[in-house]
Amino acid sequence: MVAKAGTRREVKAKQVSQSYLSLVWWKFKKNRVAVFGGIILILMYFCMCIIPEFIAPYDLEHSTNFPEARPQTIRFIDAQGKFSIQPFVYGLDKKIDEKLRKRVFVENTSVKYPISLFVKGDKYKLLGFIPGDIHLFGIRNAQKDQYVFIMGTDSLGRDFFSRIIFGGRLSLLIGLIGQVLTLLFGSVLGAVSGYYGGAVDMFVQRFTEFLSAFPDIPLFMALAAAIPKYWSPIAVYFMLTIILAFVRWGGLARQVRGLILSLREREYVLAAKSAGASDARLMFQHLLPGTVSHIIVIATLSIPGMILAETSLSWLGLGLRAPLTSWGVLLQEAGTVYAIRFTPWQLWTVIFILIAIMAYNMLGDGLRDAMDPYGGR
Amino acid sequence: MTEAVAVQRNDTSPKRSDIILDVKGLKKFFPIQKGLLRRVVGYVKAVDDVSFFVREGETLGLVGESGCGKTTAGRTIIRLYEPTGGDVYFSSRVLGENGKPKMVNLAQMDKSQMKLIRQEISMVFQDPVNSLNPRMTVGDIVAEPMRIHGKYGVDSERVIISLLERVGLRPDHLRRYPHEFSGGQRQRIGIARALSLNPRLVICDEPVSALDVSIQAQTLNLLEDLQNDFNLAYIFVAHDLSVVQHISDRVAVMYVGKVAEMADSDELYNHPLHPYTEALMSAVPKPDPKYKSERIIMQGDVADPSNPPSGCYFHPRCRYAEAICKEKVPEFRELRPDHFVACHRAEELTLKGV
Ligand SMILES: Nc1ncnc2c1ncn2[C@@H]1O[C@H](COP(=O)(O)OP(=O)(O)OP(=O)(O)O)[C@@H](O)[C@H]1O
Ligand code: SF4
Ligand SMILES: [Mg+2]
Repeated sequence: MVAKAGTRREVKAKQVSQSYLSLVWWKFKKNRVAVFGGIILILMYFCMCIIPEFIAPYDLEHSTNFPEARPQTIRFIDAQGKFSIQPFVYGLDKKIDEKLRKRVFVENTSVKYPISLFVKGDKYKLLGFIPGDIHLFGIRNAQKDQYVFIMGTDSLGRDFFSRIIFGGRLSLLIGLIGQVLTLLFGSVLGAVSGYYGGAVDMFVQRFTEFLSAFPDIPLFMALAAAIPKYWSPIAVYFMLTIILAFVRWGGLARQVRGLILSLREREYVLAAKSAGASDARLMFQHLLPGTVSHIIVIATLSIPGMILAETSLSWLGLGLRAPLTSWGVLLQEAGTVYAIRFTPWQLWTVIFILIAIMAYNMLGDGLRDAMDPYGGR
Repeated sequence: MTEAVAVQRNDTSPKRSDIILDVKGLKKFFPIQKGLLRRVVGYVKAVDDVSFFVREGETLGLVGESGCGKTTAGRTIIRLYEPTGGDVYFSSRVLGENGKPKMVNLAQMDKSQMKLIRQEISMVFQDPVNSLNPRMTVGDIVAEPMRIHGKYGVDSERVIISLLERVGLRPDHLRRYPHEFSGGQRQRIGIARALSLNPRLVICDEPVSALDVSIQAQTLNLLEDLQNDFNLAYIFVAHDLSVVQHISDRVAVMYVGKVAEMADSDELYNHPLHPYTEALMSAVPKPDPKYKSERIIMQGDVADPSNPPSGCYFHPRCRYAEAICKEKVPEFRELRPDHFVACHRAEELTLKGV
């Protein structure tokens, strides 16, 4: 009995004696919604940024003879009522629609293309150097004009699902890289400004106020319009990332500054100071670790804004341009009356943007709750 | 050197030579800034010409109402705040030669010399929650002063464990985090940290006022035991005379940035010379219920340290105030042996002690 009580107490001691990070992780894990958001994001980033060539059934620029084809329905039961465990799509026939006065594609129920996993297709290089030609799904031994378009095609007959996957790569990365830059600018300047105060603080403060006094979109537009037209698409991409980070670091800098100012007066910081701790020690041992959780939460919650900013800029025609393909570029192509009337499936992009943004918000909210394991301290 | 210092001392100087800290006319003003350009429109005179001294191995209680500048005085002594004026003489062993302490002025010290002094003076803070970094283990917290001074070596962990045991914690607490402890235990961790470099003077800023009454007594006893073991001198800040009474050898009473009175505890409690001390003492609960003393109710509020009254700062609330009190600042002088007071009428008044 006594021994039992002893071991129980020891178990309890083990449970409570955890570092801050393991407490955060423990609390985060209990939040289903946040974990769900996190998993979605990991999946999205993995599929769209690391292996998009494998996930997408066709190459980004693979144009076909089926322009503006509507999405094919994936079926298990055919016109004769026969069930097959392997999904299939019907072939497409060209037809002139008299009412629309336009060429359309209709399903030909006599031709079935079964959909298989891991099929050979367009050749690619993963991450630019791992060669391959296997795609997640498609039609095995596809002949000429045998395709599967689960989200239809665009005006050049390119598979829209593939384009969304490739577009996601740029859009998701611009959010992440831009946010990392924002974080660097913002936290370094905020920390320096809060810690040293005085003239440095004054300058940083006024500068962030100056930036935040401008409305975001016109400022983006002015800066983006200044990118020379002859720059290579990749240079434009990086320039845009830097512009996004530059316009948005002020908010973070303010928050970090405020945090450092309040932490600076905590008695544990004074204790270290009274013992003779150096500036570097105070900063890296006592002040910055106290802001990391907040910085991560703020960053997570503001990546969606970054993604949306890219999207809106590209949609306005000031951001990325073809041949670069991002969600914003795809939306721009879909943003005409003609496209909405005749190829509404191009709005699938919006669904993907929404999923990414909601996943970031779920994750960010969960992190915010979890980062506070002592409840209020 | 001792002679040179002796020359500088005025009448508040102690007669004995075992002085460890001698504060002279210390001032700390916080600027009040307004507007976009942060123009200085005035000063909060948090500490305004404060003088007191502490002897080796003794406890000086520093009492006064909230906002009278006790915390600021403690922090200015150890240069957490830069003094606006005045001198802080400290008899330093590290800067002295062949074991003999040397009187140095902390207010004039440069950063690197001050860092050496910081081994000899440490602080215990008021808030048991905020005074320990939640992201560090108890072992790291107590070891931090050693690490800062490059004194963390192979057997330091053993030293820290024995220190933890000395303050009433267990060796297995070493790897725990502060949030796992109660307020009293956290305060013990803070005390262990303050002792890790073998200081000679510890500034305790209300170390027990955030604790339960039962824990307060334990913590005070611990502080007293440690004082005897390590021959520590304490500056013990409190806003409550009854706590100070237990632990202090001598008491300095502060009012709005100035010391009103300073004397041996017994002397102060039996023969207060300052009306403010008398009023404070009338508020101390008496152990004997039959003994009823009238409580002196002070009219008005504590003076605003950014806009103090003329003359004696206490005059708007003093029931003995006369015309001179409004005009002249009373001098802080030694009226009886080792008993200092700043009141124009101290000689003539007979005030009631406890
Ligand atoms: N960093 C600061 N900047 C400006 N004013 C300050 C600062 N610190 C303290 N003060 C002011 O100085 C005065 C003295 O404050 P201090 O904290 O020293 O009082 P205290 O005696 O310790 O009070 P308490 O018993 O409440 O701890 C107060 O009026 C306070 O508002
Ligand atoms: S100087 Fe005058 S006002 Fe001040 S305490 Fe003494 S009697 Fe009171
Ligand atoms: Mg205080």
